[in-house]
Parts: sequence; structure tokens; C-alpha cells
Amino acid sequence: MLREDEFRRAYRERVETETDQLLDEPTSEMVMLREPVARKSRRGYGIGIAAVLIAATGLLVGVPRLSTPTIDPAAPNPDTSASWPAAITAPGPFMFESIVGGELRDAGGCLALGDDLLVLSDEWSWDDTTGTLTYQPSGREFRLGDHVGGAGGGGGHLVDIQTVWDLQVPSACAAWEGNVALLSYPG
Amino acid sequence: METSVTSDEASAEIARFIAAHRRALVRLAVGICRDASDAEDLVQDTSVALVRNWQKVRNADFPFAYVRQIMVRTYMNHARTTEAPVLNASTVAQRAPDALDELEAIDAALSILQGLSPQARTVIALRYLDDLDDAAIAQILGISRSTVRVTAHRALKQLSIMRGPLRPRRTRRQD
Repeated sequence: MLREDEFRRAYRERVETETDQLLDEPTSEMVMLREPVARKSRRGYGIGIAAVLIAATGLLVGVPRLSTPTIDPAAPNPDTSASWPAAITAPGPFMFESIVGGELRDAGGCLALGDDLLVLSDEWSWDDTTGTLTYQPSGREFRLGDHVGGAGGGGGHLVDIQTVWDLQVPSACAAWEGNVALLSYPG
Repeated sequence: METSVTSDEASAEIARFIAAHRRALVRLAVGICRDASDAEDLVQDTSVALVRNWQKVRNADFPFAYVRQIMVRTYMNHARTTEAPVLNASTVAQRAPDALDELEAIDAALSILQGLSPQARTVIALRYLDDLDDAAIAQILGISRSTVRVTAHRALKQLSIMRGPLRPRRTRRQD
């Protein structure tokens, strides 16, 4: 028979060691993720996103959440309105959930969140006749200039996102060279 | 008194909160899940729930305790539908060595722990990692104190752990 105090000590030591290992992992990934690499592996890409997020926010452990590979990218009427930008959507939840936020703005014809091109989960709708972005489950609405924050996939380079998700980007922002922010729901 | 904050302030608060408690959350998740991958998922799910419920968390008397409860209940809800059948007592008894030295007994206990029910692992983690008493564990799990006590008793028995006062240390015979 093992004594309770012996078990407590050993159990704690084991858990602390495993915790250290887990908390160390994202740090080692973070360095390589800063490099602009095109990842073919979904899991690898998820880890990449996770590490970028950790670098930016220090929030989570570095766990990729794999989304379904059957992406249905819909660009609701990307070219039907001359006055409003287009929105890009993809089914959520995204691979990795963290906190994203920024000003909702028009980036050369597509919706952007701060400096990043915005990719929305399919729970969002964009009315390009009124310029209203709506989170359908709650009915919460946003307009250009509003701050939009919430949980999402964090981000990544558009080229990589397209490679992994086969995302169809409206022509208005097909040449986007920057990052994207993946937004699941408002926070 | 409840207060609300802007989304910018909330994001900053959440970032500070998770930065401050990240290790404790990961540690508890590791203790409960006994699997690194599952622990990562649990921390992630808990973090997402935290973001969604931030106003409640920040206005709670003990925000970390609130988030810990979110984690435990998230795990239990998930485990109810996904966990593989746990080892039964007879199986465990066959795996547990009878007379091994302390190191082997510890390894055996930690190995057997992985096969216990999610509720038993959670009780063990809350008791031996977070040092919570039966009443606090019962409140977190939403069960009675007696259920906690029985769960812990059975788990310790399966792990071949002897409760109670420490046995006297062996002393060298003075020659």
C-alpha cells in the first residue's frame, strides 16, 4: 500500500513535469512560425496559428483545433455593390480559438479587422446593401468603424490560409498580401 | 456590485487573467485528463468559455474558482459522451502490484489513475493538486459531499493508497 502523502507528492511532481512540458511546447514552435512558410498539413498549420497567437497574446496553450476540411467559402455578393466591401466567410469553429479584435473597415474592397483581412464563420452575415455585419445567433450588428472583438482563429497569412482551406477570396482582395483574422463570434 | 467594461478593456482583462492563471489551469487540466492532448483541448475549451462568460467571471467573488468550475464541468460534460469505458475494480486489482517498492507503487498508482472514471480523476485532482476539501469539490462538480467522499474512497482503494495518519518512519537500528 502506498501512503497518501507519498501519492500526493508523486502525483504533484508528475503533473508539474507534464505541465512544464506542455507550456514549453508553444515557445519552441513560436520561433519557427514567424517564418513565412506555406504549410500543407492542417495540423501543422493549426499549430502555426496557435503559436502566432501565443506570441501575440500569451493566452492559450498552443492547441490546434482542427476544423472540418470541407470548407464552404462563400463571398456574399462580393462584386455586386460598389459602395460596400465584400465579406469572406468560412464554416466555424476555426482551428484555434483565441481573442481577436480591431476596427471593422474596408480594405480595398473587402472587410478587414484592423490590419487584417477578415474571414468570418458562417454564423455571420454581411448585408452589402446596408453595410451591416450581423452575428446571427445574437443579432448583434456592427458597421464600418465599429470595434469588433471576439474569439476566432487568430490569424495567419492569406496565402497560407488559402492553401490550407482552399478559401475562395473575392477578386477585390485576391491580391491581399497581409494576414487574415478569423472571427468565430463576438466577445 | 456588477460592473461592465468595453470590449477593449475586456480583452485586456481577459489577457491579464489568463496570463496570471494559465499555469494553474493547464496544471489542473493535466491532472484531470492525464493526457497532454486532452488537457490542451480542455484548456482551450475553458478559455473560449471564459471569453464568452467574461462578465460573469470578472464579477464573481472568486474569478479563478469560477473558471475552475467552468473547466471541470466542461470536462465532465465532454467525458460523459466521449470517454471510453473505465477499468473496473477487478481489472485494476489485477494490474496493481502487491508488494513493490515505493517507486513501483507510485508508478502503478499513476498508471491506474488514468483508467479511473472522469469523476474520480477530477476528485483526485481537485483534492491533491488544488487542496480542496470535499465540500468545495462537491460544489464544483454539482454533487453531494457524500458522493465526493465515496468517489475518493473508491479511487484511493483502486490506487492502493492508504489514507490516514502517516505511518512512523523506519529508523535504523542503533548498533
